[in-house]
Amino acid sequence: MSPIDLYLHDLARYLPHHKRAEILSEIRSHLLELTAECRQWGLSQEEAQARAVAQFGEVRAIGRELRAAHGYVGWGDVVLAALPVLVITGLGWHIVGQHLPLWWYLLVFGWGALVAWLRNWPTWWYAWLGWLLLALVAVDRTAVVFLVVFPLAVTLVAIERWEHATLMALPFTTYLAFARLLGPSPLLATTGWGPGNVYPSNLVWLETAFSIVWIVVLALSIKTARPHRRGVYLLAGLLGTQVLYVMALLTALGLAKLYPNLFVSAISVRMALTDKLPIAALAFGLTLYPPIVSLVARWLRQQQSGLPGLFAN
Amino acid sequence: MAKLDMRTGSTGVMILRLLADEPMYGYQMVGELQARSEGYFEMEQGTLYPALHRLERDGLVNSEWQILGEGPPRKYYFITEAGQAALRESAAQWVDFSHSLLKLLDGLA
Repeated sequence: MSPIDLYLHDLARYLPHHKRAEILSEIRSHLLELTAECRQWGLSQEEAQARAVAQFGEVRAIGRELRAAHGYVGWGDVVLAALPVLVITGLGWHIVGQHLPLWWYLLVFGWGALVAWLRNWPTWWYAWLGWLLLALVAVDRTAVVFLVVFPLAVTLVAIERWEHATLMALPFTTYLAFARLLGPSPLLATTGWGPGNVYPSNLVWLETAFSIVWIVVLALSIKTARPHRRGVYLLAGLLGTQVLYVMALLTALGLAKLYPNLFVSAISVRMALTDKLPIAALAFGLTLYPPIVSLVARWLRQQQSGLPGLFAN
Repeated sequence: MAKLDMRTGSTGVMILRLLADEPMYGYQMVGELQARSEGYFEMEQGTLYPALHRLERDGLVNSEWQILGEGPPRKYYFITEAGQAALRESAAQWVDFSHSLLKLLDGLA
């Protein structure tokens, strides 16, 4: 294998599948021209190709930059995006809300902000930012943060990139689902046998199960989806997950109603209609809010370009 | 382009400036950049392509494959209208920046 073939073979591992052939053709063309230039200095074909490859640059760095230029991210970014939910799920909402001091969050997220700034604000940072806002609500229980800072931040981010705003809004939708839709009362327990006696509240394992679903949705949408479809996959995954929450609630209610001698639920049908259903609607609304803001912003921009006299500075 | 994004912004503005004169392919751009800057902007040649592809993703340049003569096929890049506007904006920012820096450094160099 020639030095150029070897280089392109290594580079191919970093490139997005659907763009791979075209990028490799372009870079092969460049390397062949560079080889011809090196040949003019009296080098052999093998030496000229080796020189061309060396001048072109280190394969891993260029491969990663090309991958990023086409909107793809590495597994490290996926792990960083999922890290807050892993930590908070691992610790549990109650510990997070009641026992961890504010400085702990500020330290962790301050470090995250520094790394994100050095990396030019990558996608995973927006997941962190959303979790930081949630942490402020949980620790200080300051409604002002939720009512003022959150809509403002999500709206501003959504105007530029609604996928980023959706990542920011995730903690709130999952919080609504875990802590308000499915909890805090036991969702479903058995009356005299089985795991219901061991686990009086099903919230913990439901929370873990849905967190795993959430992380899978996040990983698939960030890592494997083509960039222009990523936001759609993310939105579909989140709405699908929320449908699962509602189905879990309805299943619990149905089982408790149909088999009262076997199952019991602390949630009544009335509570589901007056309390849980509005929360589910709010979670859906929060998920749909960023793409709606983005559509409105795009429409306004189109109006602006069509009416320069009205909007021009 | 971000106002003071010097690290990534400088490569982009240099590429746009070259393409404002005529469509070019990657290898040609590297040579042209070195010639116009008298060797000052010598770079690892591969670093040009991520910058080019970002500009294309952002709609500031377009590209087209061309086969001319016996050489390898070349992918030519063209600046778009959005690219022209971004170039004007970036150029103004760089001129402001360099004037301010020169004032600050006046008498030292």
